Amino acid sequence: MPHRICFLFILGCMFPLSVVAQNLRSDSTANDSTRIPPPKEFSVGIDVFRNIPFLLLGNRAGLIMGGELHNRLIFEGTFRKKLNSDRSWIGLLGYASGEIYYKNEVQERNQFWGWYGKGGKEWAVFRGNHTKIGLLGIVTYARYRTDLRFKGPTFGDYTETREIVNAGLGGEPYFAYDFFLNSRWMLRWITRVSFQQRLTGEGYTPYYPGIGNVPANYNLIVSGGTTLQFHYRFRPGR
Amino acid sequence: MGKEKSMQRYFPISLFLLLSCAAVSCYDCGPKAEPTAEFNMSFDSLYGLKKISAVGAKSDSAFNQNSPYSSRYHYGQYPISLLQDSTTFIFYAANRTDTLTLFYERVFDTDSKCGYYVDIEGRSFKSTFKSVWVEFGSYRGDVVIGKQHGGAGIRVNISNQ
Repeated sequence: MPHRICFLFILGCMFPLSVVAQNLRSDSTANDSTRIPPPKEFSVGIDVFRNIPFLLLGNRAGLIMGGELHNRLIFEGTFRKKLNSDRSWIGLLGYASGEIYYKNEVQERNQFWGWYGKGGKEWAVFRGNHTKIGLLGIVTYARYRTDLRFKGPTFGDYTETREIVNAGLGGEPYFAYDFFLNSRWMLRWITRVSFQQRLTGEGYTPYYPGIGNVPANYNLIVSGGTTLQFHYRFRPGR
Repeated sequence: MGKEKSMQRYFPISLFLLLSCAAVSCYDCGPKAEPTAEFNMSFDSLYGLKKISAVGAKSDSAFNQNSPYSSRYHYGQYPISLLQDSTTFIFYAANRTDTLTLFYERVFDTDSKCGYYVDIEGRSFKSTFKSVWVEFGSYRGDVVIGKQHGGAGIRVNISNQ
């Protein structure tokens, strides 16, 4: 029940934001389109940070919920289309995989892999076009393969490998700061908070592809993180 | 480093306890391993129980922790098998051998309260004893003040009188 309330709260927060965004956009396009032609600039980027500290710290990390994460790999590509000088559409596609090992638990190991897509809008804040805030919707698909062992000292251990398909919807507000390396290349520092409500699936997911290292939550999960993206800007007509 | 490790280990446990004990009661997730059935046995003075065993058991030690059986009344908690849906206990006495077979369904599942757990759904039993009474209960449940376990599990009363 508290989960549902929290989820409604998040939805409640997202709705007015999107309405405000829509109003802002319709106002400005009405004014701007008469004077300046709409910019055709778009950029594509990849995540260039997430795997580095993980590999440098020995390819393993303790998870908040328990267990130790091994061999985690994340690949992310992102697309950004400028609508006008201070608004953009954002799309992101990602893949993450890894393993979680447990000690003295019924679960011995999880192997997971999953795809996720994120899409939404961002707005420039402050002057100088460096600082942005954005809001993305999230769709995820993640498989968890779990090795189970129920100890049986007298008759023998019961073992089973179980594969569970998880899918969910979520939201992600973020804050970004852009470093323009030159007229074409851009480095983007993103700090995000991600929420997801699982629609199908079961079991705890200490690491969820696209969301991250999850504290003790079950169906409604929350996590956050910070990373760097490397973007190439296509700027036709310049 | 060691302290960090132990923090990581106890954080989920303490969080779980905090969440589940927030109200009046706690939740008992059951054994998470081979469950045990509770046995209360009363025999006449001529029976002379010597040894208890079970079909498929790798070792009899779990069944004979209170032996030698000198009294007419015995109490024990004996494991049941997680490898099949029945367990047959064998009671070796002075002049005869008795059996009791418990039939059940094993449930291996996961939920937000317990993570992965095992539970038993009782079905029936078969025995060569004169009088047997078996109560099948869940191994999981709310722990109420004054009760040791949330789930009663399987309880067996045997009498040959």
